Amino acid sequence: MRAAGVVLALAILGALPDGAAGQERETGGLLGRARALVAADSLDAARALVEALRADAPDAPVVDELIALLAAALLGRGEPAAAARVLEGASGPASGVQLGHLLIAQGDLTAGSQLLLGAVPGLEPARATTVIQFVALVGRVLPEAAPLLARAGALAAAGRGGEASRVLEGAVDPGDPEMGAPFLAQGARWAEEAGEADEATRLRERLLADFPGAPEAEEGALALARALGGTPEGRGRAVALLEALLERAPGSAVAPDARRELERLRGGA
Amino acid sequence: MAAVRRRLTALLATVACAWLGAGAALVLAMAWWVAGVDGWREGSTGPLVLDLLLLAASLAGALGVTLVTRRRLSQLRVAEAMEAAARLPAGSVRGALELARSLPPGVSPALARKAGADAYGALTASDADLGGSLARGLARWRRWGVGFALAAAAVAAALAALSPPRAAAAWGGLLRPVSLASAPDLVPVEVRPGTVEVPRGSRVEVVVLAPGRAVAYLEWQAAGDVALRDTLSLSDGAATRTFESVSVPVDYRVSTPDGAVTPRHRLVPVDPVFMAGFTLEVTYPPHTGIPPAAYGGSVPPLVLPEGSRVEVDGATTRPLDRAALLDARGEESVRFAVGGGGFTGAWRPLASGTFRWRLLDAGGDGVVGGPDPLELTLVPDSAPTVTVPSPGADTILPLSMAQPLVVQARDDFGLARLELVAYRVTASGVVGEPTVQGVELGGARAVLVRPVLDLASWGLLPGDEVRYFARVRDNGLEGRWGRSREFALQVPRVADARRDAGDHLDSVARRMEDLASEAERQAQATRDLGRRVEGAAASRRGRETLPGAPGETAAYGEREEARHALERQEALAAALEGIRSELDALARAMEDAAASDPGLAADLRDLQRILESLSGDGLDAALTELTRAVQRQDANGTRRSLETLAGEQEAVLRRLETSLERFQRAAVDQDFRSSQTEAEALARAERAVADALRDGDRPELRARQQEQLAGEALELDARLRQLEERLARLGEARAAEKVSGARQEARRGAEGMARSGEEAGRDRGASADAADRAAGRMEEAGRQLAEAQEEMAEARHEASLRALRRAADEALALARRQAALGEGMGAATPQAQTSLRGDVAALGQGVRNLLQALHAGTGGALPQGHEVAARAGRALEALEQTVQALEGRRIGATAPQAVSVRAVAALNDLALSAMAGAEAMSGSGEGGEGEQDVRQRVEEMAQQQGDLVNQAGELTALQLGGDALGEQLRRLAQGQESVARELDDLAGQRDAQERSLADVEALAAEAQALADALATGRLTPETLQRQERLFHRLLDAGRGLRNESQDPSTERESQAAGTFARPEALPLREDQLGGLRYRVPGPEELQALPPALRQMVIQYFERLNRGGG
Repeated sequence: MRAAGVVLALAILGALPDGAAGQERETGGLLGRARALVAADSLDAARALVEALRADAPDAPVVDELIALLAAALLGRGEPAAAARVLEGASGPASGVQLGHLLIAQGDLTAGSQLLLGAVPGLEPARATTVIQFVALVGRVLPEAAPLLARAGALAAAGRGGEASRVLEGAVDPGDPEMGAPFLAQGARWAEEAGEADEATRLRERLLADFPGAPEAEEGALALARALGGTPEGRGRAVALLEALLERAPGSAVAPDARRELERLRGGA
Repeated sequence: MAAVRRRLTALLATVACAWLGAGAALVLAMAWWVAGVDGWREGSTGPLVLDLLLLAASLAGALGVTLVTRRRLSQLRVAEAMEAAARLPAGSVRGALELARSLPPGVSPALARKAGADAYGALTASDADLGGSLARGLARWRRWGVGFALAAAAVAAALAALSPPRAAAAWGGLLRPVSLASAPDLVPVEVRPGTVEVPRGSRVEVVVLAPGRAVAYLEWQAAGDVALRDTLSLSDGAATRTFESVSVPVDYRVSTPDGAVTPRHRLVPVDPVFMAGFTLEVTYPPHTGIPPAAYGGSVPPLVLPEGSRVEVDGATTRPLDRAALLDARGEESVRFAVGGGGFTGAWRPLASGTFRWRLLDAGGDGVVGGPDPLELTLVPDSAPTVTVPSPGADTILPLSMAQPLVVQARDDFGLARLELVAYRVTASGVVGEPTVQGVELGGARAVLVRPVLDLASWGLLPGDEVRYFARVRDNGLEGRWGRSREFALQVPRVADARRDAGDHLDSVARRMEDLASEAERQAQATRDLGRRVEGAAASRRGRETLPGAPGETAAYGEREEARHALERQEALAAALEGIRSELDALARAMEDAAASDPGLAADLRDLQRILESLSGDGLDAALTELTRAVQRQDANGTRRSLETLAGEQEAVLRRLETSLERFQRAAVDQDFRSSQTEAEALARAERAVADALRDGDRPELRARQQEQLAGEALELDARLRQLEERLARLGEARAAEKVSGARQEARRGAEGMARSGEEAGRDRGASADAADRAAGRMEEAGRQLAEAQEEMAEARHEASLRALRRAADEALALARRQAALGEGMGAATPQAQTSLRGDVAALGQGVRNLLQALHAGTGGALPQGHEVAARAGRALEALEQTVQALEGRRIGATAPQAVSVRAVAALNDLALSAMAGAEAMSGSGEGGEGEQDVRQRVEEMAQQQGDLVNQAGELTALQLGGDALGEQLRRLAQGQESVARELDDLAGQRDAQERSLADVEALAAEAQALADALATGRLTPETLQRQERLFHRLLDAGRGLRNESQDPSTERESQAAGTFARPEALPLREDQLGGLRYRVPGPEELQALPPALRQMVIQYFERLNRGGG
């Protein structure tokens, strides 16, 4: 029997699935719809959805995800207070991540990072990787850049990776490899996650152009080569990138992967 | 009547004659008897006595005849005899006679005549008969006399017949009794050689000495021959007679005409004396341990220890009269008992020399074939000798406070005991009680022992000195002692201790390089062995199809090789563990010596962590697995284990290589610290000297001190130059530049010190000013060194931080890639799965690269390095499981995607641990208040107190006085007060109260009391000792807290010492007695060498003497 809150939420969404679909499908559907609402900037609807579900099953994972999604969207819009309200009382890992973003946005980098890392065990490993990467980035930025980074992170969490990457790119100072390279690399990753492959490629091109000696350039070069190698016209460039990478950093962590990629490209050629 | 009387008188005369004749014969016989065979001697009164006897007898006879004639032959008696013979009445003849002579009146003459005629007529018998009884009595006497005379004459005649010469000599003497009795007193006759033994067949000359005589008679008789006599004409009373060959006994005597006769002597021919046997036995003194030695016949020259006893026993063919040993002067030094058939005796020689034998028989002849002269060399029991070839000179105590010594002792006979005596002389001159450590040597004649003078528990402090010497006692009865010279071990100054620590770290770094090379060789060898094992297994598999294939032999060889590989790896691990122990000991020694500092302590902790991480769990597991496989004789298991081991060895090798720089940098850091310490100490000393100069306190002493300080400053300059070069080699250009600046300051400081010393005697103020400026230079040098080190440390810190952050990023990149690969695993075709396996394996290699880069970036000094390595290990394991899952092997009944997710999580963990390391390195992760804090504070206070003790020692050495000392002591008091305040503050902390710092208040009170004592401006030995005690109490408190934090659950209990192996001082072999085969160079020679080379030389000779080449 379906919970009332869920029914209400679905009603709000106008997307009550047909038949007796499983709860998983329902929650998945809920998240998809919620993301769609967030993407459409229909945050009020999303907030209603969250509230409805929260009243019915406050500890349900899906509720945690929805809260996090809504809070991330609010943070992305520059409404930390609203995000804080949404996050109030939430205890799930996804919510914890956004609460971390919120604290960082407010300038409390240490507490924010601790919250983020505290959330990691509850997250899927792949997602945890992103969070950890974000924390690593936070640990290197100057305190004044932290709000911007938090906003970008929130945007990415809200599914607006392209926008997040642009936020970061906007903060890049070509003369500051300490910050510029990580920002571009992270922006490229977010853009890629958001499905904006071209944007990711562009950012990586810039990373390699502006900060060729940065450590982030190695992974960026590999990712770029992998992206370029998918097309016949880009394969030559990809090979050149990989060769350059292997020549420059043969003992790096990504070098074995790059070597395989290079072999693959050469084999394909 | 008259006729009868005449007849009777005649008869009486014949009686007298008969008896006189008998007496004469008797005298002759007596003379024969009394005179003896040799006749009368000159001056003898015998003949005279005999003659007188005879004369007396004659006179007596004449008197008797007279008396008899008068009394018995009177007319009356004759008349009565005649009356009786004629049977006449008595008185008839008498009456007639009387009437004839006169008629009494009245008597008729006729009648008288008639009566006379009648009486005479009645006497008709012959005159012979008329003698009657008188005649018969005389006749009887005559018969007796004649008979006696005849008998005596017969005897005399017989005697004369028996020995006419004797009779002649005897009776001749009777004829000249007076001349014999009154003859001159001649010297007795002497004859030589008397009764003697002479060599058989030898020529014997008999010498006759008869002074006052013209001739002598030599009478002799050889055995079996007739007696012979020879008359010798004496010349000057002497004559000789030679017996040409005496082969039989010859009796002889000499007589002279004056009747002198020598006793009878005998010449006895004898054969020569021969030695029948000779033995000499030497009994050595017990302490020599030399068994008794016996020699027969020829005795070689003997070398005898003093106190030896020599016993001889000789046998000869004839008894000896004398047996002795003659010394060089020919005097008898030893006499032996003679008897039986030889001689015997024993003695203890008292002097060396050559001794001849005197073996004489009764005739004074020597023994034929006697023993050779005895050559004795007496060796006195010399005192044992002991030397200390290493260190062989006064030196500086190692940081470990354990000074290895090489003690060489020898004695001519044996050593009983070796003792090492050491005592402490504090910086203030207080001499401690000596400590004696001894070892029994069991009588070895030469020993080389390597004791370690472990002074770690003595609580020594910089400035102290330990004096020591070795002594040995021999095993002789007197137990003589020998003693080495006394050596001094100086406790290193703080700067020296810190420099030594740097050298030690240098040495460790070099050994780490060697170990890295060894690890590389081992890894390669293990790989090769794995391939050989694989090849051999394949070969066996092929042969096993054939009957009787010898597969076991090959397996045995493989096992042996594997076992060797195992042993080599274990040796490597042991070497690493040894280095770790060394570092631990170094840390402790530096603490004990009050020379530790936070930087060194942290470095040592880091290095130990690195060493711990070098041989990780993986290597241990691989070794364990290989051990089991070898034990099981499992060829496949051995092969697999070897592969694993090779991988782990390569990992260890990589870690070793990447940590080498950390060790080198730790050594450089320590060089920095020691140089800085030295610069600061020089600055302090210079400042104190400047104060003393300003006070005018003993300018001559200050001049000398300035000279010494200038020398030390120049030495510092030289060391800084080396440091500069090392930094340049490490690529630390900036730090090298700073050190160059510090050098410049140090040189200027040295110049200032020298100037100050020169001015000390001339211009006090100028000298003090120069000293002040020099002190400032040294302070500046110290500051620049501190800055340089700080900058370098900061740069390294940044590099490490970057490496950790990069490692985190790379781990996350790998995680993302793994996540992406995991998404494609669900629907992957077999071909795609193969590709995926390769991709995942590449990620595994990426993890290894990451670790290597991380080690390289951090110089091997990872904060939480063990954790990062462990996380990397888990990530590798997860990736490996993913590969296995892709190969179709089920991992815990889980699909590849799920395993891949785990790998992503593991990579995330790796990133997190790297981030945590970075965070710890940036300092935000340091613990705040609490257990760690209390311990650190206590340890820092101990170091601070140690610095104060050192500074007090420096002040003592400077011999300051007056205001200068007061000023320095005020500074010292301020430092002491600081410690007191810290302790007081600590006492108020809850943690400290709850922990084992119950007496912290007492420590604070003591620190304050010391501060008060120093503030009075007096530095007494008691104050110095109290400072030391406080330092040790703080040190102990810090260690107690450290132990507690390492093992908080265990209640510590004291334990009685168990049995332990005691190193034994082994005696040298027989061929080494009396001296090593190759003599170890003496102390003088060794002293000319540097300590390290000296040690090498000693070890070299030890090897030679052991015979091991």
